Amino acid sequence: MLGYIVRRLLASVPVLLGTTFLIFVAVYALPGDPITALAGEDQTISPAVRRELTERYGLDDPLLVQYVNYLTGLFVGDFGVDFRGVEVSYVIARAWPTTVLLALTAWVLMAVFGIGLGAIAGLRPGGVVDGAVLAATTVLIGIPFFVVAYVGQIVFGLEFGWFPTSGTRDGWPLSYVLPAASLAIFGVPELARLTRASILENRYADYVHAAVAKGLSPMRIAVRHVLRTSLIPVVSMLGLSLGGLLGGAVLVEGIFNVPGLGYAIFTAIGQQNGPVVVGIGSLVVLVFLGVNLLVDLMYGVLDPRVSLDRRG
Amino acid sequence: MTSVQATTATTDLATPVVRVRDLSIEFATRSGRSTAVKKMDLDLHPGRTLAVLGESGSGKSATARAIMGVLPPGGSVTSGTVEVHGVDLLAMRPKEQRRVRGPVVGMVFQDAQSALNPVLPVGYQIAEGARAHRGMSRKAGRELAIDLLDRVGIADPRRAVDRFPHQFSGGMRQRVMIAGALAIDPEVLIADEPTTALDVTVQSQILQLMLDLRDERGLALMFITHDMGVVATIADEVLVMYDGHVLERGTRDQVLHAPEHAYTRALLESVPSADNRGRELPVVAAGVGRGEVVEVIEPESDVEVLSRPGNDVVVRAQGVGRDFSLASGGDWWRPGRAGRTTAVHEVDLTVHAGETLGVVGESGCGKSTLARMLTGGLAPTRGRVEVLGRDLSALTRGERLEVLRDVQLVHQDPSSSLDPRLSAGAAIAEPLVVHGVGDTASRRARVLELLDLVGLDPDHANRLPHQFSGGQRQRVEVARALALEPRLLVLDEPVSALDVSVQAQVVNLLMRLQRELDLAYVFISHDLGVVGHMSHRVLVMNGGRVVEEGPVAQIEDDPRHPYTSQLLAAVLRP
Amino acid sequence: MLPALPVALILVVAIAPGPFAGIFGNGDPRVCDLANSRADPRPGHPFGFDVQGCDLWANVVWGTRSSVLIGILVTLGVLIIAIVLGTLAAYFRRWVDMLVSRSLDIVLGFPALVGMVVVLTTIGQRNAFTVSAVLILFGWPGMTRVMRGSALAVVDRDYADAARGYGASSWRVMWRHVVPNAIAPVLVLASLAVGTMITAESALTFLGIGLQQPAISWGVQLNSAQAGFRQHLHLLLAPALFLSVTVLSFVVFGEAIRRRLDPSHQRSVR
Repeated sequence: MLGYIVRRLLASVPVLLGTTFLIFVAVYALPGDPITALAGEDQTISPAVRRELTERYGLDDPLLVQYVNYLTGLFVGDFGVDFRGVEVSYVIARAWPTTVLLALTAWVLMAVFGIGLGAIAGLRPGGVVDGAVLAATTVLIGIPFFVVAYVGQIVFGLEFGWFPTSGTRDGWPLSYVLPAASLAIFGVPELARLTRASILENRYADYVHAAVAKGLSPMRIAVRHVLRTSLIPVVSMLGLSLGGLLGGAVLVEGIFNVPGLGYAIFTAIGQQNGPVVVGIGSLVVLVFLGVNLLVDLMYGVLDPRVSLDRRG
Repeated sequence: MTSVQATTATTDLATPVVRVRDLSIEFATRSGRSTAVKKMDLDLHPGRTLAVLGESGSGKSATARAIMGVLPPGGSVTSGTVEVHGVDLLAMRPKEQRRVRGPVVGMVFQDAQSALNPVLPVGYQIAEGARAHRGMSRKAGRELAIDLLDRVGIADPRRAVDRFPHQFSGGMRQRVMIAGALAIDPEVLIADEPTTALDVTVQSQILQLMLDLRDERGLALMFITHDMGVVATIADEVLVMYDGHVLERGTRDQVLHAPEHAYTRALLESVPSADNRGRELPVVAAGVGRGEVVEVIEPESDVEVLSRPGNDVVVRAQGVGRDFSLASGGDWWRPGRAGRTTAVHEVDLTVHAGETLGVVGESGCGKSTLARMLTGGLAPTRGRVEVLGRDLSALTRGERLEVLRDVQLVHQDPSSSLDPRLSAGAAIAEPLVVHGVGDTASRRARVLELLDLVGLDPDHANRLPHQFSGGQRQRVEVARALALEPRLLVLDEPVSALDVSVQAQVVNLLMRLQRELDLAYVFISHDLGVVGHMSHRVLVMNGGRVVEEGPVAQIEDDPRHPYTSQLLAAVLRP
Repeated sequence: MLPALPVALILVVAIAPGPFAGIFGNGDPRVCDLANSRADPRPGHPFGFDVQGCDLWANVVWGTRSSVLIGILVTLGVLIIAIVLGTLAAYFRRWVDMLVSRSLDIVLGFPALVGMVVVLTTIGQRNAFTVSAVLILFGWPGMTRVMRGSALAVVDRDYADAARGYGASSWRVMWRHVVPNAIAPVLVLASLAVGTMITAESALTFLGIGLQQPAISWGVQLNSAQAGFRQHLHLLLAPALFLSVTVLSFVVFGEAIRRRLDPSHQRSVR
């Protein structure tokens, strides 16, 4: 197991190098003046400031040297300094707990509703619930989720006044209900459908027939044989979606003014604050890779056919 | 290895445990309802085996599944009763049914790979029935599973009990399945083709195990099979099914030695073997049989019509072998362990025009690798392959393409060897197009000629593969292989996926084509019977080596190598 | 096929928005009067007016064009990349597969939305072309992975082997046998992807890093409706409604195609 983790960590090194290099190239090497990009297009920059900025960011160095410097910085947790002189790591430290709380809340909501609805639909295909779930998921897939977020804000926040529509002043859970729900709706339809399809696939499997032929009760068969096997891909997707939730947080935090990483990126985009965008981007990539590793480990535990020690 | 002996148990014939009467089963299809089983009667007696014999679609599996309540979606019982100890199982409430299915009647499925839950340890799966029905504790269940694993012949049961199904071989998985059915201590065991997917030597072991268990526990056994040899080995009574109807029933000896129905006779005679070597086999006309009317086409003559080999050498392999690298665990910072496995060691063979060289062996013996080396699909690691005197490895790309026109491969499974989107005509014309032979019109004419040659109609050219039966698909594949007028066909298990009666048609076809076109065949099979029927010489392969080679008669009557004897002993004869 | 009707209607609107925009008599989205800024609906102007006093109905109808166009073009781009790379990777394996699979992993290493935000922020140029390019850049790996998997299964089938056996070239095997038999799952994905891409484009634009004024698009309209939407709800609802109906139409259409192509829906019994 430990050997596998080490190997997986080593195997994700090329991916990490590739992604950070892409981010780096995107920011520092694309056509256009990085100083202007750093300082924002509307600013006029005096030659002295320009010289100083060039010096500070090592913009005269060859591309690879710049990249290596950026990378070594990342390794020791140094995300650099933004153009206002604020440490990017400070911005991140202030914002990440909010985002983690938001993403986890959304994640739990998504798991409960996605798997629950999918399982009910899958175990009774063709029933009323199945039809309703199918229709509802189609509609939800069809409506862009930031529209859902706005509608939720208007209906539950403004019309009924049940939940605050902005900020996190009321703390968890009240302030997090609307943003987390909007974020969760993002993944519920897909998760429910996957659960349903996976159950349908296993419902008539030979080993389910074999269990029936042993006279086991329907409940025992559903839990032990159908669900146990069907949930393997579902759990995998649930893990991977955590990364997607982080991405979705960018939008949702913007809409609900939740002061998390997404909000920070949102503001940084508005201010053309490149280093913050890049810093948070790199962090999210790191978290994403870590989550993927965890999901793979989990897969090995859930599915004995996957041998962790033999896979690269 | 001793051959399996049927021990006819002494039983009281008083009352059957299971009495099926008037059972009819229907399936909902797109075009309405179709009858799978029509008014079926059967009795199962303690300590005796009823073999239900039939080809695919005969309704034999549907019968078993209806008794166990596991018909596939769309299937339903439309009439009849299944009495267990005199009470109709089908009329019971679900809860009562569960006290019969499992505890009284157990079932062993055909494909143990899919009938065992892949994510649960085998010990759990064996014990779960007993735990559910007898409230056995987890610990007691585990001990029971260990005992049963030991009884069905699994080595080191204390360790095996915690393993998962994928960690066992096919034969071992089937033993695990049997243990799972026995755990609830049923009086009746229904086995649905439990040995069909297994190698012959493994098959005979499993059959012996089932016979032993039957006698030990006085089980009433219902054994579903399509194989006459299995029937001869295991059955006391036999029931022959065709298209949902019971055509014949009787004791084993009656049915095998004095069959009354023409279909049973045809089935028996159409099993290819060294005994009817080189003779045309009787066939059941496909699609004609409805109910009890089955049309059997007897061969025109009963003389040996095997072709006479010439002296031209078509293909010669010298010391040819192939290794595969085991690509495992390679990463960017550390190359994969340089493991290599040898699929074929060093094989010499020669095939003459008009000659059939049979290659026999069990799964994993390297016979398919050999086939692909002979047809140029796989480069040998060592040795050389000569086609019509030209060494394949010494040729340029263009020359190879030309030379390889003379050797064509026919695959085992006709359902996957034809592109599902190409019509039969387009598929047969493909090799001609690739090699730029003729124009559209002449190719069209050639396709019709080839269809006629393999016994298909001209209007079959426009049909897609799924519109053909298995036997017809295999004919299309043979026609495609013949399009470039090759001198040699390498046939890799060409009839293994087919029903007995269809197999007979294809065997007849192959033998006729050989006579008419002076073709050389390399005929690869796990089935000694069909190899003995149509080969001139036989190679026996085991573990990537040729262990014995010689004329059919010598191999069958006087095997020199112990593996050959073992293989022959495991063959079940009707 | 009923689900095709809404999609067909949307395509007609996208190709020729003029007549539809003019249904209520004020069809020019560029004829604006600041005096009407954020004015409520009134006869002839069923959706009212936007911030700059332009007729919202005309704007929303004209917005169909860029959204649908980008959705379809991006999907086509992704589809072509997926078919080519997926087939090549599956057929040649070894280093080709390594290359494709690694690049795919790298792009999938980004949460797509964050990745797009980073790239678009740094590019600075925001127009239909760059937005489409970025959507393709982050959209191709998913579909390519599916195509690769599906093509791998076909390459292993005996008929591909048989084709090589009678001398067919790699090109012919791929083009005639592998692609036609492996394409169904990605076609289904592609038909669903049009809706996803339309959503993604409007989301990026809504964030302010997609299309910019004076482009006419639902994302732009949603973006400018953000400020003070509590008082002027119609500014938000009109483009949101059009966007949702459009995406929903494409999703339903995609589902219908899935049912047609997915063999598990037509498996015969027995």
